Amino acid sequence: MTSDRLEELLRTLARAEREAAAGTPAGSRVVRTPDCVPLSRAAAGADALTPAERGHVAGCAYCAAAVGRAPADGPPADGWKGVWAVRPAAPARDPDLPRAIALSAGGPRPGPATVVLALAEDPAADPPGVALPPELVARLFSETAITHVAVELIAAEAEPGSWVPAVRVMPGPDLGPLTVVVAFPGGEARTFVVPANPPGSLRVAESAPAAPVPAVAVEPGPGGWRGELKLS
Amino acid sequence: MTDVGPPRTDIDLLRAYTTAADDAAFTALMNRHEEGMTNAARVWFFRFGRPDLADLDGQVVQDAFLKLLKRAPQVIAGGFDELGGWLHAVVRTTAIDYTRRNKPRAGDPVSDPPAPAGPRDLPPDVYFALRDCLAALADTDRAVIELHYWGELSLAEVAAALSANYHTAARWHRNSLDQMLACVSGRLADPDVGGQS
Repeated sequence: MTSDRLEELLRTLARAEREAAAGTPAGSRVVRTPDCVPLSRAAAGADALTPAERGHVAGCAYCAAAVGRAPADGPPADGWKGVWAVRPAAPARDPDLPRAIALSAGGPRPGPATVVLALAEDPAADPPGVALPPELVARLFSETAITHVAVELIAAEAEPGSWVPAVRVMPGPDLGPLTVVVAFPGGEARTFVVPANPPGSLRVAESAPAAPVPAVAVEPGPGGWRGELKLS
Repeated sequence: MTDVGPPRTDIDLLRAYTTAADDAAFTALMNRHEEGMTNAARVWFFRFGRPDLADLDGQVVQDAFLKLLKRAPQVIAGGFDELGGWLHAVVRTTAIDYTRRNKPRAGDPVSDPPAPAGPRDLPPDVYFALRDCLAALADTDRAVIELHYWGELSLAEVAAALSANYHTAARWHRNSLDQMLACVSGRLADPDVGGQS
């Protein structure tokens, strides 16, 4: 066989596979609607979104993924600037929380009814998220390649002076529920149970809201928002 | 505003978005490449033996554009005018990520294999020899072959996509072909079969 013949065979194989791919039905899992946030706007930051867009993003996995995976440039000097605006943090060394992970974010920003804090130990990670212990991945996820989970704390201003938090995990576990304990900077702690997705699903899973926490518990301190997370 | 000037290059559009927050420019960039990238994503899923993932094409394209935004400064500094090759290569690596992330689990129904070229195009033994020898190449060598023949990128575009100069890409291509030639010839009971036109 000559080199020219090999190139001809490769082109033939490539053409056949391209034609086979073109003959399959169009994608069905990703459905963009007119309400979807344009990718360019999603990348510009959560702050750039209108309240209506924020509401749409909360229920749209396509848009949530776009916003959540946007570049992590870190928060500006004036604080909170988007769901990926988190700061690096050193690992926790609290012996009482052997799996605790020190987290930080720019702090919640007053404004719309719902504020989302993205919690991550390494904002430079792509995508940003929390690295799960291998044994937890093996127990809760059928796909062991998933080693990072983005944990978002959703605080709704249900009543003045307090916050009703919930935890959203993307992707959600699919072999069993994930228990998340969040220790807030003010010392308050809440436990959340994120239900399991159907097997194989990579969609976002959200816990039930926990008891309200005082607003001071989530206020950023001099060094920004800092909390701890324990996963089991 | 009506654009009456000459067509802007990909880099012009990306620079307009990153420096002047020109959303229309980025939308134009997406419109220019989205369909081709979507088709490419589907081809890669077939190439990697996972046609069942073809409906993730939109997510692959979305991830590729996000990577472009994240790496915009380096891409702009790269000195290329067109981003088709770069985006195509990112679509390929992203499709690889999705393929690894969605491995079939024990007990899952076996996915249909990718449709092989028919006997009219390739004899079965040649088809399987090509497929297996391609899989045996090192990652970079396989990327060069796949981007050049499946992605239909020129060697200059392959070089840009892999952050190499043209001569390096050409050398990779030559070495990859030599390896495949030895492998395929060794696999075929009658190497002359592959020599028939």
